[in-house]
Amino acid sequence: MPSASTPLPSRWPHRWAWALACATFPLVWWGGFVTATGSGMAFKDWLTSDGVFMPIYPWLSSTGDKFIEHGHRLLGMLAGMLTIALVVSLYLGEPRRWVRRYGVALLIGVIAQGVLGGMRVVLDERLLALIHGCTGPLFFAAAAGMIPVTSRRWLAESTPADESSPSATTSMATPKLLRLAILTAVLAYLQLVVGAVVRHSPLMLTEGAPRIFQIAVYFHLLLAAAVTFHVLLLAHKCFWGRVCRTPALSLALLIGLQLLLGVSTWMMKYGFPQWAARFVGETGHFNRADDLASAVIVTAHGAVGSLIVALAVVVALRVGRQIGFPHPASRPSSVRIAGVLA
Amino acid sequence: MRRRAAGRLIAVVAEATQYIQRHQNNSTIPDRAMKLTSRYSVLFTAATALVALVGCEQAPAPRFHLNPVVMVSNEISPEYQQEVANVLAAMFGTPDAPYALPESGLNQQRLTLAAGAAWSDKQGVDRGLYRKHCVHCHGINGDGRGPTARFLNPYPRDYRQGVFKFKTTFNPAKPTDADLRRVLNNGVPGTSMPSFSLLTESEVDALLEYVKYLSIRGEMETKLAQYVYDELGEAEKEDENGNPVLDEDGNPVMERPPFDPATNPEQGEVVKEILTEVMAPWQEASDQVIVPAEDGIPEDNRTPEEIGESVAKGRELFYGTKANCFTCHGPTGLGDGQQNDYDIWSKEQKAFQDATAQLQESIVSQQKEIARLGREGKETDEEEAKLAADEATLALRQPVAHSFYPIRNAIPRNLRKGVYRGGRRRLDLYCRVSAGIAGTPMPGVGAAAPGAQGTLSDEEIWNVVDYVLNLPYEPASNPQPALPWNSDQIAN
Repeated sequence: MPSASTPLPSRWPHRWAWALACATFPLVWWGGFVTATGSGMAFKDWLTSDGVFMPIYPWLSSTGDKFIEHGHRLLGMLAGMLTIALVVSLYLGEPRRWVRRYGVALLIGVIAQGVLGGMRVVLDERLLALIHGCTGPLFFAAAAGMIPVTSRRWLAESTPADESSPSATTSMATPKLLRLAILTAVLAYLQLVVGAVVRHSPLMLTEGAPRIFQIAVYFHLLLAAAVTFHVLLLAHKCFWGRVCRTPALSLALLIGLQLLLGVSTWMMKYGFPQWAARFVGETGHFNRADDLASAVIVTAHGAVGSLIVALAVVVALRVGRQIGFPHPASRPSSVRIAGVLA
Repeated sequence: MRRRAAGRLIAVVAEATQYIQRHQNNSTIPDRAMKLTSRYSVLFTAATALVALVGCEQAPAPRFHLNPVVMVSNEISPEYQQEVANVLAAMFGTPDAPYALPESGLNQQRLTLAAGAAWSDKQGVDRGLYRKHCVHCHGINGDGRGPTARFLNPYPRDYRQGVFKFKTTFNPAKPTDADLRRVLNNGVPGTSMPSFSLLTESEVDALLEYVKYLSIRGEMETKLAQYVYDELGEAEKEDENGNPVLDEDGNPVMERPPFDPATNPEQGEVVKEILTEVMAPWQEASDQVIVPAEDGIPEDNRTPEEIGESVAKGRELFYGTKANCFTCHGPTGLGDGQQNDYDIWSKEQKAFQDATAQLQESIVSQQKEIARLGREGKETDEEEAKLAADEATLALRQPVAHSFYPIRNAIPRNLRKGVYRGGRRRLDLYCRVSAGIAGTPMPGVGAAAPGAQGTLSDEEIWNVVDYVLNLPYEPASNPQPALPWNSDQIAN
């Protein structure tokens, strides 16, 4: 329960946080769709679309690449406005200063992300598209993190210091679980970054692009194994520890879906890999360029990856809150931090 | 400019950090970790802005690169390489601004649509189609070495040799536009080559024009390098009377005649001739289309008995000495026959690697020989000069040889899968059997040119087509009784 001295925060920041996260997820999805369909350069200008100020561009009468790219721009604007609304609500009704600052950080983040996207268009620079693709999910995770932070449950959940609270005795949240959740979020994000490299490097025209792509593919596979292991371990520990069961179980389901989407994505882009053809033999399968189904699957792979990062962040925040963010009594070895097993 | 921007942003980040640290102690919130989160969020967004602005320097415009195998094999000096590149740039332009020489017959409008960076104009017309759809596999040079190529099987096609597999023309002939369009529209089943059937007709036409452009440019490059190797190079300088010019020590002065067709009319004529030579097969492609004899084309309404009879004849030919298909496709049609051969793209690389390995071995034996001569107190100046020259050549060859992806054998098709990369129409299979597959060990058994006599008659080729189409439905043990008595001799 919140202490008597702490004023009860307004419910509006929480609502706006939900709205922001709900708008950002389709934004991330749509951004991936822009890449999958190669629509990023549907306009060569930014802040305007073909010379028309973005909000008044006739989006619904546009088609193809222009519809996709401008839709992304409009969703980005919506996310920006929702972030402003969130910050305003935080400054009006949120007593915790660090939460207000968190909101400001989100605002700076959404502006930076918009500028990055704009620069990618103005300069027609693939590297900026890659960075834009990496920071988008990060903003989504940060926006998702605002949801538990502004929730009533956050204030209701006690710290171990408050031993009179019933949750203090039933919660199985431990610093080790927190470390696992953080490590999972970091690994999942790293996987997203590597995935963005896999996606964008083939279209870079630099000498080193083939080498970068090859390394990124191997690294992506390696990280896929690591993320899967950590997500399943986190879900297992959370489920049996009765901590954040819903998001943790969602993570476990999403990782299964993500693996399936990963294999499908490769097949949709490049067909059967060489090693698989040895076992499956030749098939008459061929892909279709600019196919909607393939674009949706490729995009879903990136979007589900973003959702995994966001959920891991939420789990980490809630676990952290339940253990009151104490510092571990003794600093664990780096091996244990990495393994989070013993 | 870039450094100043980076410096300013670093200062902003540092200031933000200091600001957070100054206000940290005033915080009344108990959750330290959340404050850290908040702080790092600010830092991260500042870092993002930093990366955004530091990265705001446009990458240099993409360029065509010379074919290293051709250049090193022909021992083209760096000066001549630059001059060859200049000539190619003058004739073909750049990846951003390709140029269609009037003599080439290429369509400039289509090339412009396909080339350059990918974007959409105000009318919504997609431009830069090659870079949007093809470059990641086929590469900016059309060398089949795009970033993804290493993982693909088969490797993407290298257009620069001007050889295309799936076409309706005779084996050595170029493909027609319709052939290239068919491959673009249908894709190549069983490979990573997708179908572009969702693109508009004009977009597909633009892509096929650009493929031809890259192919012609690649062939031109090879022939120019051969010309430089054959005709140009360092030579003794001569005075007006044709006598060699000597230096102070009495040695002849060497000079390098430049390769500059713009100022040298003779070279200009040669380049024009080479272009004509390269272009002629492309322009004659439509005259080289395989047209099966009207009366030999099987009817669509054949009875099962008639089809069965044709299949039986085809089987006999397939396992017989005349068509000799089973040597590669195997006694059961599983593609498990002779598998050690290579296609021409692999052969070129393998020959280069083998020659490099031989040169390396030769250098080792030369070093031993020089050491032996040295021990015997004999002169080794000549041997050392040759060794130095060979070592210099090896230094050029090795990086190129190491840059190749693993060389793969040309594996004959498993005909029991019913997967036909060049198309599954009966006419497609007729063309494959008749003309073979250009660039691969698959030979043709039909006429090699218009009006010529082939190994098999038209009717026999249709019989083989019927049998090949029937193979996926035939039990694997069935063909064995049809094996010829001397199959072991043929296989050897």
